Amino acid sequence: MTLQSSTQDPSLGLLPTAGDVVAVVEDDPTTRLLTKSWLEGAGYTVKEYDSERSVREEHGPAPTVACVDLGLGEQSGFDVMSYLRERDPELPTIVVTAEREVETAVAAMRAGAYDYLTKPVDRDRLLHSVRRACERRRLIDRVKNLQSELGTGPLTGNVVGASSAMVELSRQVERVIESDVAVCLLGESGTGKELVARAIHRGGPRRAGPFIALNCAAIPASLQESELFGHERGAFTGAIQNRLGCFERARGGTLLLDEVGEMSASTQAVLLRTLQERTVRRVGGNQEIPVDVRIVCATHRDLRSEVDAGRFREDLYFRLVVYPIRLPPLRERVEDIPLLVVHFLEKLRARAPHGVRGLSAEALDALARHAWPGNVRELENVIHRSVLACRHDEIALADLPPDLRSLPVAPADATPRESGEDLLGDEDEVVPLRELEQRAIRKALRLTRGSVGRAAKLLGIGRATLYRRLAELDLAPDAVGRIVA
Amino acid sequence: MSALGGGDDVPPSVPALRRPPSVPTLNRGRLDAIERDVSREFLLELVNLFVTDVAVRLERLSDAVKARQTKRASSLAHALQGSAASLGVLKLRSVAQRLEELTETDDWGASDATLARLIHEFQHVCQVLKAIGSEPPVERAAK
Repeated sequence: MTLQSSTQDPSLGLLPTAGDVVAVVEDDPTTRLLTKSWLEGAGYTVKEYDSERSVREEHGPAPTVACVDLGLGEQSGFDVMSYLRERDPELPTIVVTAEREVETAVAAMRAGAYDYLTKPVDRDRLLHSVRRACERRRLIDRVKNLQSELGTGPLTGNVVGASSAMVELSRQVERVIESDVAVCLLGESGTGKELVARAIHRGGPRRAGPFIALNCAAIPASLQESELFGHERGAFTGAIQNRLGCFERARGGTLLLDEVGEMSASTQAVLLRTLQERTVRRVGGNQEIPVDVRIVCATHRDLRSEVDAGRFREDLYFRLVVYPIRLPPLRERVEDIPLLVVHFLEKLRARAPHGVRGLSAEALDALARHAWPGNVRELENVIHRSVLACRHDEIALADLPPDLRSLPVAPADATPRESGEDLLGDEDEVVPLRELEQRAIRKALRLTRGSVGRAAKLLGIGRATLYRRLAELDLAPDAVGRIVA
Repeated sequence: MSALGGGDDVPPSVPALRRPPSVPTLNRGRLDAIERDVSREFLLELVNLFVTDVAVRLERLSDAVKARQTKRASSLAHALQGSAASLGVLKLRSVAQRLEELTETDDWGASDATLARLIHEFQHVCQVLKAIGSEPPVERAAK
């Protein structure tokens, strides 16, 4: 399986890398010698075993891949397979069976074999299978390394990513986790604002208390105050009993005010008073109830602009946005897609077992080309749909939703002029350099459907430079989606 | 190299009934490919290994058939046909496969006859394989 384009990470290339060790478990000396010779000829190091016993006597480092003959004399190749997998659960095992034993091969695949070959083994088929198995192994190792690198940070668990943007996010969360400072999470829909809020709660001193999330956009303005501050019986029609609001329910813990930019003006006024006084008064009540709650708010809007437009109270803005944290959209961290795919496949497997183990290189390239307006949530949905469509152990391009399949691949040597847009304008027109640059960037992003990495390649500049130029040219990152739409 | 066939001259003591379908002695394409992929020396080493190993296996198989040991005989016949398949020794493989089927069903009369046929075929194969060493080398594909 190739989950990542080899252009992005040479460690996932197609050729055997030094150190790839293939264990060949085969009792027939002729077949063993032939297999060994083919594999060594292709650059692999081979360890030979002629029996289950010889495998069990091996105490050296685990191989990268194992080829196991299922008809090991009177022993069962299945025993060898399960022993090897017991020692190394991630070991891709290629089983070899007699031509007439397809049922055995199917059983082996069900038992977790990576691939199967029938005797007489074809050299090209063997090398192809071993190469793919090694790629899969390297990917799994890479994912594990990245996960362990992240494992010590605050964003462990469901917040997945190893890109520089996510490392920076992790650092920022670490800075605020121990204090009660008001954090505002800024990010597009689907970037994981609630997950980060939960991570802040889980990692901080209030972790033993409750975590309450309220989506302000989902509550009608008339009910927002009641939801937040609670109400007394008879406060309004339908208030048949006293009800605790989110503030009281979150006492001692954390309250996430999601989509806070959608809060009504009257609720904003009450919220401001509550934050100043650190007490709540239920709707219809006259008692001030002290509350000790950490507030984290989140929004996809530019709250500063909302203040300037008079839609959000400035005094409340300063109360809520003491420490803003920006969550990067997925298109700014496409290098995290392989990690996220593995994460979602595992998550789906926990809910309903499936046989999908990965993604083909073509499918991954298609994912990398997509602009992901719905961010990680959209990716999760795509993976879910693809798993349902997939009839093999690897999601192929054809299993992806049609709109992702048809994304054009930007030619590596394409230039804006070659693709038909006259960047220089009319003959008599002089286009300012800044405008020229803006046009070129817009065009590159359009051609690559918002893939910053590919756009940077087309423009002949580095990825970081493109981000910097986007900012300098007032093409804010969130405008990228509109450019490419 | 020309394709080699033959090996159909069965001794008169072996019944012709229930004989496996006629197949060539060797898959020369496979042997040539091995020589091309690795080397002539390697092919000869592989052939030697095969001949030595199969001779031992045949002895064990004969003992198992004589002792009417169903499981052991069928397992040895199965292993022998796998080995023959690897090198492209088609006819030997075919006879071994037939013997595996017969021993599995305890058809010992037919098994004895097929074993004799297997031994005969092995002797023939040894002659054919021995001749490979004196043949001109296979042309290697340009890299």
